[in-house]
Amino acid sequence: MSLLEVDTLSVRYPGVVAVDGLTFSIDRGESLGLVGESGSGKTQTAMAIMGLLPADAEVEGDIRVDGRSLLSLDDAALNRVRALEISMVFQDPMQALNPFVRIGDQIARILLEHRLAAGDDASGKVVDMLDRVGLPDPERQYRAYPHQLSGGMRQRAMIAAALITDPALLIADEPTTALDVTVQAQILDLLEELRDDTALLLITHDLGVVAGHCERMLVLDRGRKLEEGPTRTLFVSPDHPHTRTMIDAAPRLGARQPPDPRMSETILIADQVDVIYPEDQLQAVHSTDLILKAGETLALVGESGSGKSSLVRAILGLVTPAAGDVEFDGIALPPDVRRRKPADLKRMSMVFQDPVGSLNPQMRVRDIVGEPIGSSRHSSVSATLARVGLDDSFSDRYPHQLSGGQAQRVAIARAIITQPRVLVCDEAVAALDGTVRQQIIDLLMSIQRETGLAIIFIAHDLAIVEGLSHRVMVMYLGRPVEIATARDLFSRPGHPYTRALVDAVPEPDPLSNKYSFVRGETPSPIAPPLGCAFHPRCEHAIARCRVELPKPREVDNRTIACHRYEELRTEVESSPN
Amino acid sequence: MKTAIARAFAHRTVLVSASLLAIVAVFAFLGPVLSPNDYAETDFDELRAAPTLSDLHIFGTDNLGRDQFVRTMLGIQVTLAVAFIASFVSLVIGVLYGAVAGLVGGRVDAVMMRFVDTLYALPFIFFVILLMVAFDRNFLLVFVAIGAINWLDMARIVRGQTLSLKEREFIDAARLGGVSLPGIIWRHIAPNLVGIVIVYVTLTIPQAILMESFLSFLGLGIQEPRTSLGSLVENGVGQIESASWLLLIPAGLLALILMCFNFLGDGLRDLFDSRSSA
Repeated sequence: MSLLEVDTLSVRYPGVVAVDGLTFSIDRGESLGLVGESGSGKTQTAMAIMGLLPADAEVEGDIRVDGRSLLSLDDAALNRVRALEISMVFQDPMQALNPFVRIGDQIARILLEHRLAAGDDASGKVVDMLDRVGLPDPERQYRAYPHQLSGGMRQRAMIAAALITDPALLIADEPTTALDVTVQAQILDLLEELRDDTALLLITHDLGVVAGHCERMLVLDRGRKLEEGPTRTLFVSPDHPHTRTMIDAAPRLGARQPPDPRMSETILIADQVDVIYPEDQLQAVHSTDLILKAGETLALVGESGSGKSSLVRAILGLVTPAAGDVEFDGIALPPDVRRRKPADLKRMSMVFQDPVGSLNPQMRVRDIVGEPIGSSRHSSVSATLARVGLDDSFSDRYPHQLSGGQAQRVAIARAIITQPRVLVCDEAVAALDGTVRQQIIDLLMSIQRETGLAIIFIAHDLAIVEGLSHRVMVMYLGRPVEIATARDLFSRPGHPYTRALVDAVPEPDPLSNKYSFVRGETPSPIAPPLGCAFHPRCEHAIARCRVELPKPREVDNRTIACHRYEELRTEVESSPN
Repeated sequence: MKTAIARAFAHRTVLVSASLLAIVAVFAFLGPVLSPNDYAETDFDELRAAPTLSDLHIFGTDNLGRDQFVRTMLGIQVTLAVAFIASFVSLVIGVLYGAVAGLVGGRVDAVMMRFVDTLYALPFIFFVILLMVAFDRNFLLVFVAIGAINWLDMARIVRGQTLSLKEREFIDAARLGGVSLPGIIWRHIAPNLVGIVIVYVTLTIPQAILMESFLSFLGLGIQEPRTSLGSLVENGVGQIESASWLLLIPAGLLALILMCFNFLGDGLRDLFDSRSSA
C-alpha cells in the first residue's frame, strides 16, 4: 500500500473544472514532482490533499493516506493527519507565517497542540530544528518575528515548522518561486538533505527544480494527467508532445549560443548615475555607468536589491537620479520624464513585469495601444497589434479578458507603436509560463531583427538571458560587478558573484549533479557591507575585500569589479575542470 | 473566487433595494399631488385620527389634525433631497480635494490632509448648533453642515486610492508615452476611481439621512410647518401612547430607506469587486 493514494480526484468550481480525474500515488520516502503551467491544477491538487479547498469547491474521488480516506474525516481528525502525517511548505513564507507570533512560538505551538512535547522540551526541540534548517544563532531567531528574517530565512523557518512533527509526507508548493535564484538553490538542497524518509510532493512550474530533486514526475495540463514516470525517463523520452515542449522551453544554460556582439555606434549613455530613495533611507544605485549600442540587447542581471530596475527607471526619467547624466545620441536628456520632449519620449519605451497590472483595466486594447500616438483609430494600431500576433478581434477587449501572454503582447505593441530605438524590458517574461515565455522572447527578437531596436533586458535568470543578449551587465547591491559580451561572460564568468548566479541556475537535466552554490543572501541595501559588497558571501574574499571597494577595471575585454580577478582567473584555468 | 450564487445574490440585492427606493421616491413625489389634502392644513375635527379611508387620511392625522400621509411623503422628499444634495456636496469636494492631495503629494498633500484632520477634530453637534443659532435656523444650513462633514471621509478614501493608483505600472507607461498630467488624471486615475466613489456615495447617503434625522429630532433641522422623517419621528414619539401610527409609519419608512441604501452600497461594492478581479 502506498503512503498517499489519490484516486480519480476531481475538483470543480461553478463553471470551471480545476482537476479532472487525477490518479497517482506516492510511496514512503519517495519524491514526486507535480509539474504544470499555471492553471494546470497542481495547487488545487495539493489543497485537496490538505483539505484546504474553499467551501464552493466540489470534490469527487478519494484521497487516502495509509489506506485511510481523508475526505470522510471530520475537522479534528483531519487536523491530526495534517499535523502528524502531512505537512506543507507554501510559496510565500511571509503569507504563511503569522506576523504577530515569534517564529519559535509558532513552531512550538504545533508540538504543544498535539501533545508531542511540553514546555521547555518543546522549545528545545524547536531550537534544534531551527539549527538543522540552517538558521544562524537559533536561540535568538526563536524569538524573532517573521518580518525580522530575510526571505530565505523565513522559508527555512517554514520548513522547520513543516518537519518538526516528522511527517510521512511533505508537500512543497512552489517553495522557491518567491526567492532569489542563489537562495533557491540553498532551499532546495536543504529540503533534499532534511527530509530523510519523508516522502516529498514537490509542486513546481520549473522543470529544472524537478530534474534535480524528484525521482518521479507527473505532468499536469488543464487538470488532467498527461503522463507520469521516472524523471530520467520522462526527460529523455516523453510520450506526450506537450511534455516535450515544456522540457524544451525550460531555460537551461548552454542551450542557445549568445549572438555575436554588435559593432555599432553608441546611442544611450548613463554616466555615474546615483539613485537614492530618501524616504527608505537607501541608495539603490551607486555611481553606475551604462552604455547601449544601436541594435544590441544588453541584459541587466541581478537579484532583488541589485538596483537594476532603479537604474533603468532613472534612465527613463521615472525616478530622478540624485546624480549623473543620461545622454541619447550625445545629447543630455532632462532627468524628469515630464520635462522630456515628445520626440525624446518616442525614442525609448518600456515593457513591465506584470502583464495585466501594466494595462489600465478600464481601457480597451485599442485605446491602450493607441495612447502613445494619441489616436486609437489610426491604422498603425491594428498594424502594430498584427505585428505582435494579435488580430483585430482583440482591439475591443479589456485587459481582464486577456491571458498573461496576450496582455504582454499588448504591452509590447504599446511600447513599439512609436517606433522607438530603445526598448526596456523589466522582467518582462518573469511572470509567464515556460512555453509562452519563449514565444514572447522570440517576438522581441524578431522585432529587433526587423527594426534594429536596442533592448535593455532586465532578468534575474541567467539561463533566459544567455540566448538573446549581446552583452551582459551583472549588478550586485547597486553596483555593476561585471560587464562583458554574453559569449565571454557565459564561457568564463569572471566575478565570483557571476559564477554564483551561473551555478544557481537549476538545470533541467536529471543526470547533471552540479551542486555548488554561494552561501547567504543579498544584504539589505539600507546597510551595505563595507569594502566589496559581495565579500560576506564570497569564498575568495581576503582582508583587502573587506575594506576596499573594488573599482570597475577593464581587463580581458570585460569590465570587472573584483580585487582578485587575475589570481582567480589563473586558479580557474589551472584547475583540472 | 466569487461563486455564482453570491454574484446572483449581489445582483438581486441591488435590484430589490433599487426598485424599493424607486417606488418610495415615486410615492413621495406623486402622493402629495394626488392627495386632496395639504401638508399644512389643519382639521380640528380630526385630531390624531387613526388611518382611515375617509378624507383619504390613509396614514391618519397628527396631533394638529394635519394629514399624516402627505406630511410623511413630504418628509421623505426632504430627507431624500438632503441626503442627495449633501452627498453630492461631499462627492464634489471630497473627490477633487482627495485626488489633488494624492496626485501632487509631498508637502501639499501633508498640509491638505492635516487640514482634514483638524476638521475631524471639531465637535460636530456643537458646530451645527452654533451655525443654527448664528444663521437663524436657515434650511440650507442643514445641507451645508452635513456636506461639510461627509466630504472628509470621501477625501481620505479618494486620496488613498489615488496614491495606490499612482504607483501602478500603467501610470508609468502613460508617462513614458508622453501623456500629460490632465490626460493621466482623466484617462487613468478618474475611471479607476469611479467604482469606489459610487460605492462610497451610496454608503454616505444613509449617513446623511441619519444625520438629518438626528438634527431634526433635536429640533435643529427642518422647521415647521415643513417636515422631514426625523421631525415626524420626533413628533410621533410624543404621541406614542395615544397614536402609535404617528411614530411607527415614519420610523418604518426611515428604516426601509436606510436599509435599501445600505444594501445597495454593499451590492454595488460586490459587483465592482467581481468585475475588477474577474
